[in-house]
Amino acid sequence: MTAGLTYGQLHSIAAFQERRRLTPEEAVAELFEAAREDVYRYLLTLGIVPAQAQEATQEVFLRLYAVLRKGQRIGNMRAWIFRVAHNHGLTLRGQEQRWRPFDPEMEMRIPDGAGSPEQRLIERERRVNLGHAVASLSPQQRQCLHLRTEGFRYREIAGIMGISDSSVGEFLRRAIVRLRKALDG
Amino acid sequence: MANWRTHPEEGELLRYCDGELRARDSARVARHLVACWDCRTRRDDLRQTIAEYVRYRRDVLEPALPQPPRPWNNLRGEFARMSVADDSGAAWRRIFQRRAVWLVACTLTAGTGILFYVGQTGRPVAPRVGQTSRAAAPPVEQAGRPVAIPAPAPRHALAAGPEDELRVIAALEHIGADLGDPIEVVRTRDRIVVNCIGLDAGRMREVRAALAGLSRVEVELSPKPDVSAAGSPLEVVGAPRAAMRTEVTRQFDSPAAYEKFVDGLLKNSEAMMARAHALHRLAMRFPPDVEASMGADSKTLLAAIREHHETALEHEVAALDHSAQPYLPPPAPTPAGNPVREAWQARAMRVFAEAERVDQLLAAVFAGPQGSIAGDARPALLSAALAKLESDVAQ
Repeated sequence: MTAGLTYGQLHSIAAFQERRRLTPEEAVAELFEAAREDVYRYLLTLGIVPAQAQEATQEVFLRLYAVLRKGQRIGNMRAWIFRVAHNHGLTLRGQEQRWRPFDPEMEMRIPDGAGSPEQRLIERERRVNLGHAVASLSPQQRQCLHLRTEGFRYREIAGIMGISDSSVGEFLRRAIVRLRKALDG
Repeated sequence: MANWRTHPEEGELLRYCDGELRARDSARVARHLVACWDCRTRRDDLRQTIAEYVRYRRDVLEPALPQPPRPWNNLRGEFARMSVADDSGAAWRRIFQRRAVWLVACTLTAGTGILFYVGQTGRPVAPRVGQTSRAAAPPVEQAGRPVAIPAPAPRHALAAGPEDELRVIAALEHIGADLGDPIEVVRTRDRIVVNCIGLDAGRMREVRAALAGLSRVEVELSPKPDVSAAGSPLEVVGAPRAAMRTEVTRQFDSPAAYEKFVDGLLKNSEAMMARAHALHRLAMRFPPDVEASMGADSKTLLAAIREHHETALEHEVAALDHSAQPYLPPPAPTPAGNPVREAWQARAMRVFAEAERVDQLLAAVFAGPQGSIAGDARPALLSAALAKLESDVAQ
């Protein structure tokens, strides 16, 4: 969420559109500025190569514009954007070579923490284990974790991924159990 | 009450930490955690794992993700191009619509002529080879069910569409399997996959039987989640309950009578939420643009399922109001506004949010741990929320 928006902020923009009487062009342009990095990162986690992920991100906001221009109202703008990104991403993933978002060299980039050399070593080992565990999660588990970290509720994640609330809970549970085991060594 | 005495499962604890449990269950887990060191430790472990993952994502994963390879486009240029394309498309549509009016008029005239001819001669017009009768059967009234499920329209392509999905939802609704059963319906490119998570054999048979006549449906059974980590039963009888003990409990003969009253109330609330969830899921699956693309039979079927849920929801809310209102202050009168015309999908989303609010307030007022919602305004808030919900579901 470096350049991204919190859940409430994005809703505020949708509300601004109403209050300030923004045109669809203005509203989508503002949303694009604010949320494109989040959507781009999500598409990367789906395994889309960066160039395509960038193009797909733009495509998502163009679709949003087309929908708003027709006068349709969208209740939860942020969930809508991610749902369209998810569906579009899955279509693209079927067509193209996949990018591996969690490569084994990632552990080289793990920054050293604070404390004594021994503490730093232990901490590093825990993070390496965690990295391996994250890499070993199923795509659905990873997507659920990613979306939950983005602040989505279970039913919103279910809507985005086209699965049920109970499946979201189950994917998250399995993911957390696996991460816990990795941290316990 | 039996659940009070068992440790919550891992998944339930996670939902509790995420604020995803129904208010009734959340209150139960909270009471259990007060008494159980073991589960408090498990909950803390979960929170710690989540915190470690969030830090790992922030410090390691996100910095390692590649930046977009090009500068972002300015979408305003694309918007302008789309507007121009839409405007020229609209001009063509206007021309086509005028032609279409003529085409419809000619077809109607020809059709009337044929009917007149058949009426005069008594001879039916034989359909040509490959032609099927388009006369749609009227909806069939059944006991307790609004309409029969129409047979799927013949389709040239093998792709599964929203209408196939609707028939699966209708079949599941027919046996009440859309009210909380762990069943997931997913539309893939060429079929509708119905995944039943941990259903027992009897229920599974019912699901299979309900879906038997439908084509392009695949039923899967996933094993029940492993809950062995839940541990052994634990006695926590006597755990504290209720924020609203002071006023309301005085009106009951004993704490046990109050417990019974609250259990009934929360059960009502659960039934209401099951309906609100079902309606909400229906609205999510079939948004206005998807509904508009459906055939007349499917629209009728969708409307029947929706009305069935809406009527049941109205009854559930009325029952809840009837039980709770005697113990609540009267709701403040709300100014009557002009009814807003909105799609049923939008109303379903709004009603779902209102039902959730009522569910949470209800548990906080009558059953929640003390101080879960601050202030003395809780009963008044609940009263107002309940009145608003009742008025909205009755619209």
